[in-house]
Amino acid sequence: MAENNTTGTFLDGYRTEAGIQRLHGTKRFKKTDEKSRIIRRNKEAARIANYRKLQDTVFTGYEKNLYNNETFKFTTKLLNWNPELYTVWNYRRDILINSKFPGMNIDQKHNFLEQELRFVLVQLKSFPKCYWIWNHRKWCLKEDLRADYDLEMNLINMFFQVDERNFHAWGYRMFIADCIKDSKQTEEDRMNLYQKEFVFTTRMIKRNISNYSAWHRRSVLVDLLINTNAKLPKIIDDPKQELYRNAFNQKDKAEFLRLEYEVFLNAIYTDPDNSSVWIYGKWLFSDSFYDDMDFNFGNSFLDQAYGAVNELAELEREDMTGKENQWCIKFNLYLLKFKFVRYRKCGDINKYPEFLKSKFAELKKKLIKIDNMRKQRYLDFSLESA
Amino acid sequence: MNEHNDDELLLVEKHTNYIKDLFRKPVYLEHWMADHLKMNALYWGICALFLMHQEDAFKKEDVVSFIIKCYDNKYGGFGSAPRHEAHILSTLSALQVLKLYDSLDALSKEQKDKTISFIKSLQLSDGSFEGDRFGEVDTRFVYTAIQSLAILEELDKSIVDPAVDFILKCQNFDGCFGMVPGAESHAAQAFTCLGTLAICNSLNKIKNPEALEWWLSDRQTASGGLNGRPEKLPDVCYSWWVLSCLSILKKLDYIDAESLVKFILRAQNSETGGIADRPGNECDVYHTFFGMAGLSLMKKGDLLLIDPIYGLPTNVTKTIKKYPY
Amino acid sequence: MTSAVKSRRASMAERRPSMAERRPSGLNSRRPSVIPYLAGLEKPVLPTLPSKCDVLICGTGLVESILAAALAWQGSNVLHVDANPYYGDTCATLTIEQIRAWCASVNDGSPGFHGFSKAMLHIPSPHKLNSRDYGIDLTPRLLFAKSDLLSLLVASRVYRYLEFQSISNFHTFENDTFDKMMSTKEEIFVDQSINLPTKRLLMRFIKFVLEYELPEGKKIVESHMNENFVDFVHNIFHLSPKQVNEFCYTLGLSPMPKISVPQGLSRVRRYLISFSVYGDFPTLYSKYGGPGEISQGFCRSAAVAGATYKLNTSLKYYDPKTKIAYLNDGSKVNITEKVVCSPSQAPGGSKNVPKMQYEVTRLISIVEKSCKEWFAEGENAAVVVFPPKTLSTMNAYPVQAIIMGSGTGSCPDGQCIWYLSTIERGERARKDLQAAVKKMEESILRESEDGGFDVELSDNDVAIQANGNVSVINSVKLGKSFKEFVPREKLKYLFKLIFTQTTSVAPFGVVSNNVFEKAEETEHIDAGPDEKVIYSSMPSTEISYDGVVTEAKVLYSKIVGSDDDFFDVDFEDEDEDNANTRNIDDESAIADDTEEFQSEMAFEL
Repeated sequence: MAENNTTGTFLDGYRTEAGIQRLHGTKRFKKTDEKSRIIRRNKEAARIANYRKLQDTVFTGYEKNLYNNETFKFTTKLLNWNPELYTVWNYRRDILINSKFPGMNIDQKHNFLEQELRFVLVQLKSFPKCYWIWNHRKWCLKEDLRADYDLEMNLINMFFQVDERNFHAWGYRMFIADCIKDSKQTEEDRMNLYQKEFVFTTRMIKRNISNYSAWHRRSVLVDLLINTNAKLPKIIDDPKQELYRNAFNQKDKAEFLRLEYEVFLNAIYTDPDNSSVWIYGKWLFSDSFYDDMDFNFGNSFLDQAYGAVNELAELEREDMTGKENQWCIKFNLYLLKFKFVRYRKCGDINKYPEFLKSKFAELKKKLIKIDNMRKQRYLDFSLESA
Repeated sequence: MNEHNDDELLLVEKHTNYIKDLFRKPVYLEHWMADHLKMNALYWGICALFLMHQEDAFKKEDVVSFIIKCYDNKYGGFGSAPRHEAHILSTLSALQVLKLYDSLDALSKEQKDKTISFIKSLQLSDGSFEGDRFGEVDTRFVYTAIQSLAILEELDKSIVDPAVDFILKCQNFDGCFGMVPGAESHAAQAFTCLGTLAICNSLNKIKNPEALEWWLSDRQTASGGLNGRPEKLPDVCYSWWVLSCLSILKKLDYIDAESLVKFILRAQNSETGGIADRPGNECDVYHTFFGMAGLSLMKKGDLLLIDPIYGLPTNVTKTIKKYPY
Repeated sequence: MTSAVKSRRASMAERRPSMAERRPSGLNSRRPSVIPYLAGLEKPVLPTLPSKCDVLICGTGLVESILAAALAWQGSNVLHVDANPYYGDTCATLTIEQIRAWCASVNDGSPGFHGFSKAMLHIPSPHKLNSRDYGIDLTPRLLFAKSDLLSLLVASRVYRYLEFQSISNFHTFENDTFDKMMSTKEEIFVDQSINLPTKRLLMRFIKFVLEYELPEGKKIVESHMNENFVDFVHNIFHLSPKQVNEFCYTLGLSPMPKISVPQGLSRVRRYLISFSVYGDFPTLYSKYGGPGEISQGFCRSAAVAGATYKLNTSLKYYDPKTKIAYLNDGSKVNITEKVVCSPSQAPGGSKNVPKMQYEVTRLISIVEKSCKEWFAEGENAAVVVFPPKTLSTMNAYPVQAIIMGSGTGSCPDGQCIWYLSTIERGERARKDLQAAVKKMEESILRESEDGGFDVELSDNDVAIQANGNVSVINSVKLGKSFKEFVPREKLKYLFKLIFTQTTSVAPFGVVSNNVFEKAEETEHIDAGPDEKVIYSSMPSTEISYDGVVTEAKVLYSKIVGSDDDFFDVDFEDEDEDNANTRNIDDESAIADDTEEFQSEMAFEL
């Protein structure tokens, strides 16, 4: 880096003890004494000189628009040191666009980009949460007309092995699914892709029911699958999945709810303190499914859920600690209100049972007591509040 | 506040020195390798100093001349450090710091115009924004672009309306928002989306606000700290992402301030200064700022009041012209 | 194969006698060894011994080997000898021929084999066992994924010499059936055979086990401190006796019936926290042999750090006044610190060997059957436990069995090794083990019988058993009663070994220093060839590796004064490779990897 780029003492460098990959969850370091700091400085002196020289070379090339094999190699080297240098990623793409791609046919370009993807993969393994690397991978795939999306899906599964909630990996999965979707000709094919993704979320949830990322993705897919006119083909030998497939094909929201309600019940009985499942459960009892449902049928379903959660609440209370499970109460409080909203919308508001109103007040009171942190929220929450 | 109890006190002097120390001459390799974060770090650090009434810790001319050095002649806008390409993230940070020092006029007319057209050029047909010419789409970039234009007082209907539409598409069944339509809810995205809507005077367009409020208040964990997604560990930076949202929605009382204040203060390093993501962890300027911003929203520790929409002190944001003009 | 690799093998043969002995007969049948040659690092075996050392250690069992490595890395000059021509001593991994010789030595009371007795070996003739195809563990053990030994293997880098495989199937034998335990949240969530309230009860107990050290749980434990664990779980958590048994004996691997509440809880906890550390399994074992392989790994590490090794060498006499140790080959060694000796290799006429009042009886069978029906998919081993009073002998103690298939590298294809053990004493122990083997035989014949039960069955299928009875069975393969079952074929036993080992270490629930300090209470001051010699213990009766590191640390403290710097080694040099792509400074290496993955993504504006 050219020295004259900086003057004075201010901001010669940003002395971070925390590069972007270290912003979170790093245990406090041992305090070092002067002696070990000097040792470290001496040890690093040569590396710093190399790094700065390389960075200067690359930035000079960037500024002079030098697009050739040599500058390409320099970007590889520098990005291997520091993948956070977004300017260098941009420069690398400039070089590809201006000097590598021209003259390549589709196959040559594909072969070349395969190499580039390998380079990116090595980087991702070390920095699975670096935006710029994921971004470059996406760019490569968009450039490649022969991109192998199945391979990418397998790769994502590999990342989930390490961290099944990696935000980037989930985002990337959506991106790849969209790419595949865009390559499909018919609505049937596109919806079948979503069916496969739905099966994938089932698998992820079975592996860990606390995985909110998977529950979320499931909600998005269900929305698509239950509202399409396309007919889904059978994809796996699984009786449960076949029932889902039928429900989707019939646009049978009630049947879907029946199936998903079983999953929900099993999940809350397995781990009633798990917020992921409760949030998802709330969605099952919301306008998304009840808008066009028969008033009485919908109510009987609500009552069934209310009863089951109540039973769980009883079981939890009998626990030796005698503590209430606040999620059970929150959920039932929500159900009582949802029922009220339904009465207002499609029934007779005056027929909403009085004893449910008093139950609502009772649950509210209980919550204020056991979840005092959020007291005000409960005070604001009423059957009429929007 | 109790005396002689580090856990209860905001260590203003320590944090000031910690931040000042960050911007000295680099020593180790990792300091040299942090160019990509410099402009963001500058905003975090300087805004924290302003909140602590330590606005004189750095010489204004030094800071401003550094920012001007990060201006990208080729594309307009600002890079994260001198010689780096303009990116919307560093552009907002640069404009925020200039605004803090009331020095927007340090930009020449040409620089200002080119910066405006740089930002506008990033908007896509669906209303979203890219981060740079190769950047991906993300509600973060919508927010940064919209606030940048707000600071420059360059918002108009043709930009605002599609941006608002895009943001609304990012709301999920649970009430909160994701990076793009269909992506999982995340507290930081709640901030970028609510912030955008607030700047665009469109908060009334949010669907199901009660669900959003509940989702946000459920982020408080038993330890008092806030997390960013269900079933994740609490982290000081969500004191900002979550609290700013609750503040925008006027529901700050939906969490327990007292235990959150304690959580943030316990994450301070009483030896070196600085705040970490969790008590006992290593500090950085990012969490130092966001911890302080959280305290400011809760009116703790004699800090300047921060504006939940802009992430700047309210005495600064009151000079920003509010949309619609 | 390159010639370099070949010559590597030749040198291995000189250095690792037990491994050299174990050469596979078939081509490509198995890899000869998993321990890589330490190019340029390993010291050649010396023809003569040094005349001076800081610490002399006799016996290359696991504890002694860990101790040797810890001392060597701490800077002590260690001389490590073994009376046998192979490494491993009391926990060696042996071939068939070595087992024959071992039995003979045990039964005629040869020096170097104290602590073992009543070995009975039966190999039906004509036999077709190729000696070197087998690696039989004298002391088989399971490695929990979250355990002090595994941490030590990683920290010491000894894991690099080894290869590990997973074991996830833990079966319980009860009411004449083998059941696989539902033990994780995920299994309980997906299982459709248990009703919702039962799911709740199971999960509640599991949660309690994971959190009983928090204030709330602590209170509960304290008020039931002296109760029997089994009663406690039954009364407080309302689990069925069958479930309690599974938790206590199968997952907890409790070796005895009346285990206290804290001990039982810590055992079940060990299993639960080990799950998902490296994958969906709680335990591992080292391929090609258990403690035998691991102790050799530590010997290698010790050698790298400068320890000297010699086999076929034993202590004859130690003179604490002159601090000279006399060895069987006539050499004399000046000792500056201490002499440590395994009780098995105590010099003839010793007066101070710790009293060994506890017994473990082992039955090792090799059967001509792959037994893959018991293994989880892709795995090669399993655990089977017979809780108390589940056998025809009304066994007072549980019988624990580790099943090792050919994929473990310890026997040829189509065969399987069964390791059974119990802490019952004398004849009763042998009867219990025989009864358990019988049940396993019935089970495996039934599971593997062609036609009858290998077909895919749905929940409500009715199947005709071999004897013509009709029964409704469920789809869980191992959950079928075989009370009425008459097998069509007989199981062929290729090898049967039964023996008794004694130890001074009481069966324990929670490992503590106390266990090993107590085991070695006697002051070694009686005049004799072993005056002032520090004894290690014979292997404990524990089926896991728990206690091994603790004991090594207890011994280490006795020599060094404290265990503060036990394996406090910085392998800094090797990190240079990563420096270019990863973060450079070493200080940052203190950060915990797993923590990093748990953390939220970095969000920047």
